[in-house]
Amino acid sequence: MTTVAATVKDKILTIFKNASAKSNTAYRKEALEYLQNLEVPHSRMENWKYTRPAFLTKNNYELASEIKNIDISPYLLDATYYHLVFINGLYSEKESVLPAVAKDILLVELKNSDNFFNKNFFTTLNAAYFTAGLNIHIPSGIKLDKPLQIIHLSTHNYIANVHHVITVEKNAKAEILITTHSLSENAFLNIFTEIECKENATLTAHLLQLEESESSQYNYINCRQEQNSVFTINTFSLGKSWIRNDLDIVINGSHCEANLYGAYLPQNNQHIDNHTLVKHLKPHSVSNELYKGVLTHRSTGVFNGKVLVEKNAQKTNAYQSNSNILLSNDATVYSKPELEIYADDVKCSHGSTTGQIDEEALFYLQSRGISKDSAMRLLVQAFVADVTKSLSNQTVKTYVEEYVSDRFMNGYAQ
Amino acid sequence: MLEIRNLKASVEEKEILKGINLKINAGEVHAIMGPNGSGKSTLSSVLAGRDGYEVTEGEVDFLQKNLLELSPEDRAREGLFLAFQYPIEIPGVSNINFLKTALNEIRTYKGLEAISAKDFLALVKEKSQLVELDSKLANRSVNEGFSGGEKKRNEIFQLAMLNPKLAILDETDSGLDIDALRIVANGVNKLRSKDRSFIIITHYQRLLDYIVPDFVHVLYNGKIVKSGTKELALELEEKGYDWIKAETV
Repeated sequence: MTTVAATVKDKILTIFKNASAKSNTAYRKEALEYLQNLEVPHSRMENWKYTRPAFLTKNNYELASEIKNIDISPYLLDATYYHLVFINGLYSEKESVLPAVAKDILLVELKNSDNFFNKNFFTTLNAAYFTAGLNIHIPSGIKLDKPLQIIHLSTHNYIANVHHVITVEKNAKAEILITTHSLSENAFLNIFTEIECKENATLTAHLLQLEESESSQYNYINCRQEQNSVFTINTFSLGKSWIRNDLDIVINGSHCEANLYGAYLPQNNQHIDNHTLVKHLKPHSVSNELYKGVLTHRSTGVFNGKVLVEKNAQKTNAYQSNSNILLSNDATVYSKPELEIYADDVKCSHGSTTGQIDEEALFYLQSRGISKDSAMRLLVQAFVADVTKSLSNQTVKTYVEEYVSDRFMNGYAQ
Repeated sequence: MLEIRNLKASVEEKEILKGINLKINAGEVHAIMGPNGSGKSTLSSVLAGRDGYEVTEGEVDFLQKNLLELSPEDRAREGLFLAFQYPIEIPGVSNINFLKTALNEIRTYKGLEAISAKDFLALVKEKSQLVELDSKLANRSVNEGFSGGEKKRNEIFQLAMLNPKLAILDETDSGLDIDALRIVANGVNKLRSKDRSFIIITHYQRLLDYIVPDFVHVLYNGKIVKSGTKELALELEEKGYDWIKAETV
């Protein structure tokens, strides 16, 4: 077994090495050394039971070269928003429009002293073969006047290892959209976003995974919250990509609020895995989590949400819910909500449901003259609207709702 | 308008309808009464096209079409309406969006253009008054959090909006207090016309005090065992269903 695993790992390392620019930084060296101790995720690991990244060894990735003259306008959710553009993991300053506080947006320089690896195979790979990333710093007391969209576009069979650091300082407020797009079926985006919400900061992040082709993406976001901060993250997986999302939130202050909303609509043979972890370390904070899945064809969805309430985190309120509709007999969902509570005065709940479309509701709509396809669309829209109704950003809300409406315009595919 | 000939239907291989014959002309109101388990709701479900009912014999003609061959939505588009005994709650689908979709799909089927937003809203306003339905309910999710009475009034409101040729009211009176019953019945009476027929399925004579039928049929053990005029309903109320049961044995 060891030899097989080693082979897969060697293959992956070789592929990443060949697809990355040469670099001899001490940081890369450290990351490569760290990789020696890590296994390629496999199905015997509890966190990777249903999601296998070994396909990486089968794809043919090339060394990225800079792609110019790309029209990015189709990827702008709203042309008036600030936007930062990454093409195949490389930052395109020319295409980007920065806010006035731009002096605080700088390319990330990874330093040896920062240990970003976190025992995670992909973030360590990211560090070892780092392509680019931005340091986005919202200074204290600043309220960003417009949302900021960070666009990641893959055009070819390249591997992009992107690493962003977002810091929202004391009393600052920002809204950030992270969108991912791919024109190549053979692209791999490995994206690591570190977020810090300082005291009384508010950050709303929208993660919109909109791959137009069947590429693949590993996405790791961690957020550390200090007291009175509000962090909201909405994850909408609407593209065709293979996706693994790891979202870790550490609530390290009192009176914080963390909101995690998500919807995933895999199709064909698509695989979408959402792993979330909310750690309550301090008392009097709230976390809300709602993820919904609509699955068609032979697609697979994985939801694993864990809420951990440490001993000190008394008076925590934590809610978590996951529900799924399977529109095909061949679609599969693995849903696992987890609560781990060490405090004794908390309010926590979790739940998970998976089912088919409500036949009674379908008949009711049909009996009013609505075709089965339209009835199905109305019911799927209603199901997803439970997630989108919490969105205060109308552009994002409309985008997601229109996606659902268009996708199910002519009913649904088995 | 509607002609049912020797209709037999089963649910899970158990025969419930054992040969129904019924003819309804335009503008007529027919009441179908009968004890629990006689097949009243099965009849309405079979006519509306609900899944899980197997028609084993017989024919149903609706406006010169073979009703049983049509999908539930096409039956509605042809002019059939079923007011449900237990209206379904559909969270997240607004009453307005739902009705607009329904109305426009019916219009498309008939080769008509979609209704304008302005005309639609005017229609909603007019028809909701018919059953004294609070216009706020129109913006809420379909039947979600509605009281029993509001759900039934919403059924009649939908009936008024969709303007069918034949409306089947399946125990619309069940669960209604006397005030709500009067409101629902008034709404139905205003919708009576020489072109529109009704089938009113009920246990009790009470509703028929308000919606006076042209004909009354008694369904028992899957068959219509007695037909008459509105006096039959009064006789049933007085003598109970045991009288019919005794006669048919």
